[in-house]
Amino acid sequence: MQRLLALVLTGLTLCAAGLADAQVEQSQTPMTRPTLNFFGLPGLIDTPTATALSDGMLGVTASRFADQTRVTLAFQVLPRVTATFRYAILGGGFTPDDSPPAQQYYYDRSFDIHWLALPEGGWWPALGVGIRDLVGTGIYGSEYLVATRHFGADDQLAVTAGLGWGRLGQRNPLGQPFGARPPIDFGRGGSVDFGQFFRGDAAFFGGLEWQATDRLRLQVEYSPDLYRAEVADGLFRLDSPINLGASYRVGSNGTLGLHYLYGTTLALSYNALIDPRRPAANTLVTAAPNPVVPRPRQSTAYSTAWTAQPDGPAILRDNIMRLMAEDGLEFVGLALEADRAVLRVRNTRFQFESMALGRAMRILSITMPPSVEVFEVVFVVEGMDVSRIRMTRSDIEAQEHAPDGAAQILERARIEDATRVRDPGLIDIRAPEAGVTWGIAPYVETQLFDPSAPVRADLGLRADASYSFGSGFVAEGELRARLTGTLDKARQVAGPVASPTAPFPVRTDAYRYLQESDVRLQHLTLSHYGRPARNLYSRVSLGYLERMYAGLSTELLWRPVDSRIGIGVEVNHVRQRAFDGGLGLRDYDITMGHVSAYVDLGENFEAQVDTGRYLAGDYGATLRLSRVFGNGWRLGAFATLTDVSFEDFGEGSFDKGITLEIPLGYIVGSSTREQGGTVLRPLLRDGGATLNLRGRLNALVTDYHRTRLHDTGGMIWR
Amino acid sequence: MALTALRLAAIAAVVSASLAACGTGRENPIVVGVLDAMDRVTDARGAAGATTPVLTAATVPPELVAALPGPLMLVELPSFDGSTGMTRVGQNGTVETWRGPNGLGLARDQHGVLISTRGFGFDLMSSNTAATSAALSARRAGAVARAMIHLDGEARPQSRIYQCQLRLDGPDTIAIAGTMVGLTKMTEHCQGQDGYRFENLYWLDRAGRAVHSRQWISPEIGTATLTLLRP
Repeated sequence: MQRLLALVLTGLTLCAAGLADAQVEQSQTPMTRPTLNFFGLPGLIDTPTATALSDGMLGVTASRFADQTRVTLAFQVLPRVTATFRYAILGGGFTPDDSPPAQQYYYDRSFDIHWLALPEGGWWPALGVGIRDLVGTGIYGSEYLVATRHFGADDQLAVTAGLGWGRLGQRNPLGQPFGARPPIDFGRGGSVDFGQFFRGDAAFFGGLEWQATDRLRLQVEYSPDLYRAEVADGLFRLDSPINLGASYRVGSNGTLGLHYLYGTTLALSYNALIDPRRPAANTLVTAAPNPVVPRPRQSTAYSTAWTAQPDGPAILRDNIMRLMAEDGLEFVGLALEADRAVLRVRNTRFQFESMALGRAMRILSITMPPSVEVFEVVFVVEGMDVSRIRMTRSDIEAQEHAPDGAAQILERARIEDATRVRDPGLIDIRAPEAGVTWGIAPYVETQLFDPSAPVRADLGLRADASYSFGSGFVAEGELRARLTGTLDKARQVAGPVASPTAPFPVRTDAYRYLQESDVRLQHLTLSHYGRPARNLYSRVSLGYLERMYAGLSTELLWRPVDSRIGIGVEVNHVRQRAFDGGLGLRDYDITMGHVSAYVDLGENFEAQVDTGRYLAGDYGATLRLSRVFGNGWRLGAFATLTDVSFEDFGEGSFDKGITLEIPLGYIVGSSTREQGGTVLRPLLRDGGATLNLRGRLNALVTDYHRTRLHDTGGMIWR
Repeated sequence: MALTALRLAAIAAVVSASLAACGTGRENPIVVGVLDAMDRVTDARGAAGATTPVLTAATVPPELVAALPGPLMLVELPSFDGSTGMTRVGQNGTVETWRGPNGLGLARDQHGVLISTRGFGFDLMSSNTAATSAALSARRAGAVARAMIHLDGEARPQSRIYQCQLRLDGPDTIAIAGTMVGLTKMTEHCQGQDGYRFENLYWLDRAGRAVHSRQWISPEIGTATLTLLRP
């Protein structure tokens, strides 16, 4: 079983390698591309170095020795800040303390943070500070100060020395510079234990790394970690503080390592670096667009006789619809007068929104009579007119092939709220609004890095249908039938909290839904989306909102089209659904909701603060921070604090996690708006829980606001 | 093939949401991934097991040129192991837009200098080649500068200036669709600020148009050979 798990996890890492291998090679020296250690942070083998990955890079590592497997995901959040999520599987009946093992394997999840305080320069070395196991159970708890200096013409030799606390302060301690370390409280975990950091015994660590050839690196280190708990449980034996390693770069971004640890044990490691900014596939192979058709030059005004032609509107509509179908854009409507055209477009294909804009504008240049000089494209999302982008036809003709035509055309365009001006009324053609879409497809549902198993997954079939009534009303539903999988093995990990003041089990019951339904109604709702006023968006959803809750959800969002700030209000009244996935309801109901502030911090960072009442009736706030890449990658972290006490919350103390979204186009290299995503939480419990709603407004509408259109502007003539 | 399997695994690992596979809904990521992988496999097989040789400027049959209507250009793409015909689909000022049946397209100026490509993936987004174009049409050797714009992985435009030397190689006779044509050959050596080098070759007719040329597109795609079969 342990082998199988290790295999699956290594498989996931290899997937990452598949992504990494397709990327174009960059220059790699120990300075620009540091080795990742067994903890998934820049380092040697078991010890850290004062280095950092390139900004924005992701590193995936897997290592295995002495019945211990560690899988890590590192992210260079800022040029000098690295964050790591680690999942460790320890066999041999390991427990962190003297208690008897509860299960065969001990699964540990932890986060580290590493700060390159001072980069190397001149004669001085780089200095780094790090904290391992920031909010976990503390089994890898350690802190360090480290200095690294590179030598040689190509920085081939790296010399590192540092001072460690916690696990890194165990062998030959030099004393306790900042006082005694309080004992670890394993009880709840999940909260930052400031009292421990940099306390207790401190010890020296250090090592050398030598870039022997282009692909081969050799490491030797002195590690003060005595692996006390692992040794006590008989997992491991240490004869020496010296570790030796050799790592070999495979392909452009993968590295295989062979190591000899503590004089007794052989270890294998693998890691891969992924640059979210470099697509895995040949980037976006989308068929060439139709070119702009410039008007014939003439000194007199263009004729407007076409406005009186009886079959004119039908001809224009047919031409536009044919060209839009070729490009994969959906025609919503066309409003016209002699010199101005407004095309309403639904973009279900292009992940780079400006690409949809550029193609729609070119279609207008092909189809519109010459007297039409002003082109407007209105993007329609869920029946709402979101933004209106106005360009002059003369600019489109002039900038199509200009060297900086992409920047120029957006510079000259006007992006405004779609409701700001009236549409021309001379000719008004609308596509029929009412219509049904449906589909049957396979689905894969996964649960990664759960505290009781690294990977659980279900494979099944899903059928969904949606009916638009027009005027913004939509009915949607989805039925899922599970065919096979292991999600029904999910169980409540830490057990219910015994305290009488503990919150109602609003989420810890999730496992019962997995166990008790093979066929289930995933959701079934009637919704209305609208634009009550300029800068305002609204949503009302009624029905079976998500897997566990049914009821009424309402939302109002204020977000001007060119604003870096948005304010949203969401109020819901919901009742818990029956475990069997049918139409039945249980007794628990609650009115809850939030006021949300959305802030675009610039430099590709976004923040969101939600304040309000959560599912269990607890009051509090959630902070989310995300780094967003121009190509749609999104990496974020969130934390929620509510008036549920850490004791009542149970293991983990409060709700928190990391989120990752990867656009499918990044992997397959064709235009699609689909994306994959995952949320990694140490534990899903009942405090700070919210609804998993579909169609929250901010994400829907900001795709077509100024910032996003400018961020994707390089694709406008693509 | 191994990479294809890995890519599929990556898709499966990453994508746990999914949409319609059959029906009127949108694309299903799983299905998109599988189709994409199959395309790659059949493409690879097709390339390996192809019995008909790739068409070149010299081997394109005159009957084929005669049978096809309108303006016609042959585009040879070494990095795709193939070639494709293209026809002119647009004209905006001095720039002509050409397009092939397989979604590939390009734009060139009136002297045949490549301005942009589309549908290749790592496309040349746009360029400023006015100096090269003017020197070619006058058959003038010497130094010219050109700007070329590509996208980085986040789709942000990256403009690079290249310093180029144009050399007049003199008269050269080449075969186009079975006919020997006397043209003037010029070579353009370019170097970017970052030291990146490429070379373009042009065979010019009396009007100073590049009838046949080999021009650089991007680091990933390399060069394309363009032959004007019928203006």
